[in-house]
Amino acid sequence: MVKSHKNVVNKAFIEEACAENAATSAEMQSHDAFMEAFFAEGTLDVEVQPGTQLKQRFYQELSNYPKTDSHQGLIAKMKRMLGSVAQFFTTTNVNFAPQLLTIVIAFTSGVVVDRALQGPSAIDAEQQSLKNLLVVALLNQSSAPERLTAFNFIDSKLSYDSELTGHLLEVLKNDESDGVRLAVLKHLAGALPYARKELIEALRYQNSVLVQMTIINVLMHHSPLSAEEANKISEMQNIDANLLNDAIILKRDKQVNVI
Amino acid sequence: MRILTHVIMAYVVLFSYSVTASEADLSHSLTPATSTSHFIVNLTRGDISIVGYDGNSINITANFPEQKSDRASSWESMFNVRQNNRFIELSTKKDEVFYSLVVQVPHQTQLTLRALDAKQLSIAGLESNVEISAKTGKLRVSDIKGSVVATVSNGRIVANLTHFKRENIYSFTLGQGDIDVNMSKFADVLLEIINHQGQLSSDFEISPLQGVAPGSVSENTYFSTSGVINKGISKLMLNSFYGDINLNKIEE
Repeated sequence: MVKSHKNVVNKAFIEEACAENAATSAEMQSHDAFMEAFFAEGTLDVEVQPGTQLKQRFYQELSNYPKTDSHQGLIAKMKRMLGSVAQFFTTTNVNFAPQLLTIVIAFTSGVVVDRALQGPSAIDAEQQSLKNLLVVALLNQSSAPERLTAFNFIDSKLSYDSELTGHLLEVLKNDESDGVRLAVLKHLAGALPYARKELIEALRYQNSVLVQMTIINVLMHHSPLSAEEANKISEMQNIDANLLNDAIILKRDKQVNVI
Repeated sequence: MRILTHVIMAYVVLFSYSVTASEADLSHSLTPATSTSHFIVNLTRGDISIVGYDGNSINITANFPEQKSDRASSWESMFNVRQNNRFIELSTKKDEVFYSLVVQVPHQTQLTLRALDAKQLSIAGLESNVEISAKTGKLRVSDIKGSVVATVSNGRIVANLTHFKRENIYSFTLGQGDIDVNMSKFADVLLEIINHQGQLSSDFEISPLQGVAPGSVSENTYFSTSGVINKGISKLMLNSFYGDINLNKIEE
């Protein structure tokens, strides 16, 4: 039953396809005839190559075009505008200076407010990027005094995901000079709380007790060590557990002041 | 009796000769490629005094107060020297020997001094940057026109600062011991101090940094003090773990 139904469907489909094919065939014959007539020699006046008249017609069109000078037009417009402004000031009875001053102040305020609302511009971002390149270049110098000059160019607040923060963490781990490590730590403190995990990890690389304790103090100044963090630090082989305890107690008891 | 006297006299003569010989100096000169070359000194044990002068060569005088004369006989046996167009590196060869060195260097020389077990380290009269690191020793720094970065694990640091330029950075780090910084009343520094367990004393009036109220805790403070003496031209970074930090005013 199902099979017979399928046969009926197929037959109808084939008949329909044949009819469509015949229509297409007729259409194609008509198209062929048109193309034959189109390209038959002498039937149409088509220039295969650009003729000599083409160039002549172009220059004729060009000469007919109205002659206008863009500079002259602009100057004329400006003259008209200045004339209107001058007319405004000369025809009014009030003093000229306060009005001009008001316009200048309003314009300047607009520029200032606009800049303030826009925030850091693309130029600022480019400057920051160049500054970061300079910092990285200085941090790679072999002389410690030159490396320390890098910190004059670092902003107080670092973003955690910045490439610069990564460089500074490397300096904290690997720099030969404790003075440079301590200086870099001051800037990394600005990247807290985001760089907290990395700062704890950097403790493994410190042999100087002064640098170790300063890192711990930086961490604790931001927020107290969690039990997990304290355990992790005390398990580090280079950290003296007694000093760690002292640091925690001292930090709790000592009031830190800036003169 | 006469024989005994002769023996004693001979012993005294021999002894005095050995003392004289042991205090005899070894002198040597090195010629850097330029007057601004980098001079690196690696000292295992001893004292060293490095002084800037108007000449072009590096003059080293070595003395071995604890050493027998025959063991300190030649320069080559006591020192290693590496030299190229950029730097000269002088290293002591004998770890167990106490070296007492006096070195004259051209004023413009950039200096790096590394010492392990030192007693006295003295550096003066240089116009370029100076970098010092020592495990132990008393470091005295004076009349340096460039930046100074010094780290001593255990000992003392005494710095006489007289040149305050915007590009200068003075950084003194001491694990255990006191830091004394002597300056005239014209001292012009931006102070950054980290002091864990010790006192800070100052003959100078220290002004608070801009934006930080006196006596308040700044955002990034961690056992640290920051402030300005006069206009705060040069940066002075003092870091100490156990020990006091003293800022002393001296007569010009």
